[in-house]
Amino acid sequence: MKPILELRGLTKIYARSAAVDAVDFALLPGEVHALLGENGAGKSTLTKMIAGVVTPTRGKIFFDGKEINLRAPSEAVSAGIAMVFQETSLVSSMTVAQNLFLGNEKFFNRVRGTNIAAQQFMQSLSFDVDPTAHVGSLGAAKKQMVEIARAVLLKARIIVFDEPTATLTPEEKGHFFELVATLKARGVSVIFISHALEEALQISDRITVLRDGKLVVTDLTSTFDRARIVQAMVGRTLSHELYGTKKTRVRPAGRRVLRISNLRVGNVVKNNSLSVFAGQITGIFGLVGSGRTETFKVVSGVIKRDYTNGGEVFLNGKAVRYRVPAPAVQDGIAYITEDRKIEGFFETMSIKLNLYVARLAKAGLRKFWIRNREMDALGEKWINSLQVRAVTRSARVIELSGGNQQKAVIAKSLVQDPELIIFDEPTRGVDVGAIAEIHQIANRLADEGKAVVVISSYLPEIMLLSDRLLVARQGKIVEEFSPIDATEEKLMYAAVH
Amino acid sequence: MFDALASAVSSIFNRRGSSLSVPILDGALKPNNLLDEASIVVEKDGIEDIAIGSDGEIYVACGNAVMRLAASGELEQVAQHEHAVTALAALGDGTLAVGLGAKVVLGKPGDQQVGFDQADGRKLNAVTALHATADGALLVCDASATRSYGEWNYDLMEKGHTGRLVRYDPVSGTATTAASGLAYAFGAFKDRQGRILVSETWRHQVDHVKDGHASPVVPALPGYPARIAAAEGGGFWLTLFACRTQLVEFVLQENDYRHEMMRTIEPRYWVAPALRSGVDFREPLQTGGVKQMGILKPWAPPRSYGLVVRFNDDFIPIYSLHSRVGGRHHGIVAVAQRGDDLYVLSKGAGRILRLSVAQVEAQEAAESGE
Repeated sequence: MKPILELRGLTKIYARSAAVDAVDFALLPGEVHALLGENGAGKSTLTKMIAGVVTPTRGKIFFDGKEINLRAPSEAVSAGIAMVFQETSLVSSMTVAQNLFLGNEKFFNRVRGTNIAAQQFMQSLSFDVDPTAHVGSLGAAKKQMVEIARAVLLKARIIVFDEPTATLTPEEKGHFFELVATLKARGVSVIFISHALEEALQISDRITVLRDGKLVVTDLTSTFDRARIVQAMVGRTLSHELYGTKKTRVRPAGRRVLRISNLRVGNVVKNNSLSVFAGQITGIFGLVGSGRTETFKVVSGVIKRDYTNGGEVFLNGKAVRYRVPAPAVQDGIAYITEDRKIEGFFETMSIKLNLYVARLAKAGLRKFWIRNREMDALGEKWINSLQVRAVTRSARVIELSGGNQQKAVIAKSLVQDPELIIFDEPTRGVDVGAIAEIHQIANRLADEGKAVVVISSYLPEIMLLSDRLLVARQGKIVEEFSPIDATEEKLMYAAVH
Repeated sequence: MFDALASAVSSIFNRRGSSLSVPILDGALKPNNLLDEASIVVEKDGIEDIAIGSDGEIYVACGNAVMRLAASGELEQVAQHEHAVTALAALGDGTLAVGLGAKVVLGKPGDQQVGFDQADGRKLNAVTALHATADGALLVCDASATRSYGEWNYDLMEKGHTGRLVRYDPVSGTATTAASGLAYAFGAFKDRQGRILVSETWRHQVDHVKDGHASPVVPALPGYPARIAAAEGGGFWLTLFACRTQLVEFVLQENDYRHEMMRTIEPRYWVAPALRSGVDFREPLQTGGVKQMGILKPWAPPRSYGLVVRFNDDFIPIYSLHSRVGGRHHGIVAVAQRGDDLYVLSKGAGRILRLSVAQVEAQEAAESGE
């Protein structure tokens, strides 16, 4: 069968380092092709070249047998190539309906008509999103749904999904897989990037694995299993699969560092109560919308609880109510965001400058005195400590891979020497190698006696990491488990019912 | 700006207003059914306190009598007093110290009794707990200067803080006040490190008493702490006779409502913690304890509850034993450990329960993978 898209020797060089190195790739009509690799393997760069976001340094792209030269995303869209980005590219001040039809508006637009069309379209995809809601008010999962819907609406012949399921609930993932099957039946070709290897094995026809910018293998999905994929991705056999073991021992609880009592935030967090203890990892599991993130954003001063009937937050027995994050940082609270690109760092600054800014946030009056030597030493220490891999020491954070960006965000919090560290979806969009390293960081912090909170929607991760497991549902913690006797089924049952 | 202003106004009037909350049962206090699964050793109305004698015998305060718990499970009377026994402790020489509300008497069973009824010139009023220390002294909790032991719920609703801890030296016969101004002293204990602890019930905390001052070492308890007992291997057992609820905390802020309630309603029907509940339809509902599909939700906020917490030497809770809302063994006011056996006194149910500490700890260890 003649490929609909073909790449020949496609190369992209940044700062004399090849992010994508002479990749040959073919996508067949009506094919679901999974693109896998560690963070920094070049998947995103490759797909950005396909979508016209990045211009190749060398190599050729053939679409339907003809060579094309894409200089902007709009040209790719016109050609029939759409990309659903890992981090959303929606306009947050506009409504869902407006975002869906952005760029395709009629001369006269009736708001009601646009909303009805958007509602019908979203329903046809089984996505439960209010078309009149502002995108800025939506959670990550719902934003992702709007992104996907927009790509489908553009009637693209090729759709590139970059980590589409990372923020979706299991039920929503089911809808998404059905959607992919529908697109495939219509003859649409799909490139699917995911770190969830089971998903790639489940829905793809072929799998391509990249490593260090080079194509390692392309083969039929039926010839792969998890071990072969991991072997191809990391170029080494992991001694044990990352999540293959069950926790057999938990750390005892130390003193109570954080107590949240009857917390209330709008209609998202409803009378939520929980405690976090020193020397332990407290895992918070729940589906998207269960109020986990909002609860800890209140703790860290990112958002405020309700004043009336808003409950109380106690840090080391003292009632606190932060209106902004700065005093929370001063008091030793670090919140490592789930949305690193928006909230995690200054993307055009270097790693060391990001770290130094974080240090200055806790420096009191000394924050007006910037010392370059101290900044260099700080950067060097944490880049080495967390093994942040960058082309150069002065590389900007935006130039790092997802996993290394995440490590930079973690380092940015740890330079503040916090007592309570909150990891919100710490390994979302992070490759398997970096996942293990991030897990080690969380464990090390707990071993050092810090109070660690890990919020995750990924059951194997939360079960492997946590010493205590709390399950959130509809805005509050509904059940506590020991990871020794918890099972995925029990946790999911508590989260759903 | 509004927040800051509102907080300042609230603090002036000593009100936390609508942000009122209570600690929850999580971590080491995660609920279980261990107290309801325990074996029942004694079932008798009026039991009040329990103590292990120097001879290893178990003594029980019940009504006006002090009784010995026989191996068969029968209670044998060893002493009879003219007033109800409100507290009991066994000293190292075989002497029993008995609290009789407004006085304390000491003596071996059947022998001549000596006693005292005041400390530092102030009369005892509500002796709630006694603890014999290793150095031969006796710690006495005089819970309230204004209300008798039986009127404890009045003291709560009046926000009493007239309790004190008294140290009595049997050799010299002198009683001195170790700490005063306590919001209901309901348990005393001297640990292996020589630290004197007292439970302050209405402040929901356990204090360390030093140089006449009491400072909290176990603050923000989710319930009302009562008597304390030594745990073998270090640390201590703390009993909590009921759990706190937002409703009761709210009522404690509403002075007019509370005063009218006290004036017009029988105490057993007050919106207040109770030693047992569910026996009379006129009681306030176990808040949120709604029956669904014929089952009382065991996680509902409680009016009465059963709770014992094991603390280590660093005042950190290790594990706990519960009788939840739907359970039977509420109003735990005393506990005593003899070897592997833990005896728990449920005043609400009128029962003494027995648990194997080794089994409880094995269960806890299994949960933590040790």
